[in-house]
Amino acid sequence: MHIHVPDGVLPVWLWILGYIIVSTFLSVAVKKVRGDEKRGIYAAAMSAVMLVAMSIPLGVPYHINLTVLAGIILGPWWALISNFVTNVMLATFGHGGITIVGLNTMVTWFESLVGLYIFMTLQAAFKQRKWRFTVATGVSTFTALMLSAVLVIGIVAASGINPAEAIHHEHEGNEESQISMAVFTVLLVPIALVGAVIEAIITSFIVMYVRKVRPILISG
Amino acid sequence: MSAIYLIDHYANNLSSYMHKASTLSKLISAALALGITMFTGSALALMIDFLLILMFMRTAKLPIFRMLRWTIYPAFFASLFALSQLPYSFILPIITMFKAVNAALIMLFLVSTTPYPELFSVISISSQTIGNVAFLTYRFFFIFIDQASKRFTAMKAKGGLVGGWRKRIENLANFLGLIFVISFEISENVYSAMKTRGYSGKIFCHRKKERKFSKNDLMPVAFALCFSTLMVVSLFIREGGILI
Repeated sequence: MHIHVPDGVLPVWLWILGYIIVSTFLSVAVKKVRGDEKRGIYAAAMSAVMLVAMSIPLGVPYHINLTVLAGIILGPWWALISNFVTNVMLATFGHGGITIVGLNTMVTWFESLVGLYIFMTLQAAFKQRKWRFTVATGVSTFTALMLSAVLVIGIVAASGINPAEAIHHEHEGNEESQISMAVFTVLLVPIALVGAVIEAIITSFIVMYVRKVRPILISG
Repeated sequence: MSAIYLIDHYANNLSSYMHKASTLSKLISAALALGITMFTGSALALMIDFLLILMFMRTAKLPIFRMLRWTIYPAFFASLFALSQLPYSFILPIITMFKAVNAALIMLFLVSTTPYPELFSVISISSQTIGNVAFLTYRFFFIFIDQASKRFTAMKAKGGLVGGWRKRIENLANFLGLIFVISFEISENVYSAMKTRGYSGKIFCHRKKERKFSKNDLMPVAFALCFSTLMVVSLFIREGGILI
């Protein structure tokens, strides 16, 4: 579970910056994955599984998103493309704003990347242990989701920065960005914490199941 | 039932002027309406925009209450931001809520009247790879959701969702694991089938007829015009010193 920032809450410069950053990384990703058609089909399958998983109702603020699993299965570049496509499709029915697709993709890709690298580190560290995949998945998912909540808080905090003020040292009213970070953090952290625990447990069970049935999919 | 499932049904099986309009005109009008919503700073104008979208949805024969139900999710997350704005202003949280809900409704209006593949053809103009993944995601989604719903019903019928939380979470995760494994098997089969048909990394989903303009395009034009007029009026009123 991660926070889908809706439309209209962040200043224009911030979401345009999000699109610019994601477009840059996407153009790199498209070059990196060129010729790997089979993994492209997997990326589409992963996006579809993410959308199916999100269709399982767990109450209004929660749904499973499987971004860490996407990172583990697809690797960093295909995970970015898969996350972008998933975010575009989600934005079409209000799960995250269409203007925020760039920033939301950055957040979900961050989850995939952090999750992937923690997973790789942990499963290498406990190579001899049977439980390494389950624990590595749980820990990496929980850590990635909590760090992504911190990233969302950082993005919202950045929305309070007025670029004109920062560059020209002039004070201009930035009404839209008046968000109390203390209130926002207090509201967000408990939701993110519960979501991270649920998703970490479920993702661990999924990996346990996949390891039993098709170990080749998650071989580490 | 999943939102995408129903949205796809509305886009493909309903018939209205909006459904018959070209993809390009719908995309332009939605982008314009979205842009205006983002830049409107008047709560009253956003409220009228909200009613306008509902009115246009009605003319497109879309179920208003279901559409509104789908905006609960963006409304919930917008409320986190709106509550955080309360220490500064009372009107700002209302604006935030309306902006989030209106934007979600505009997107719902667009996708409920335009089939996804037509929208993906726009993505594939900028990147064939991303367009392919988007198109295949759409195709796979309907295959997987069908598999998932059958197995979910079977799991429920066998008591998979009763018992303690631990058992429930374990069953749900095993169910997702199963869907995960099935989906990769299906995608491998699809890849093999596509390869034998000469797939080389390019899928074309362009339809030339969508690029032609007709009288049906007056509907998206009217949609965009209403938004633009309302923005101009609200700007005039603001300039005149009347605060809303």
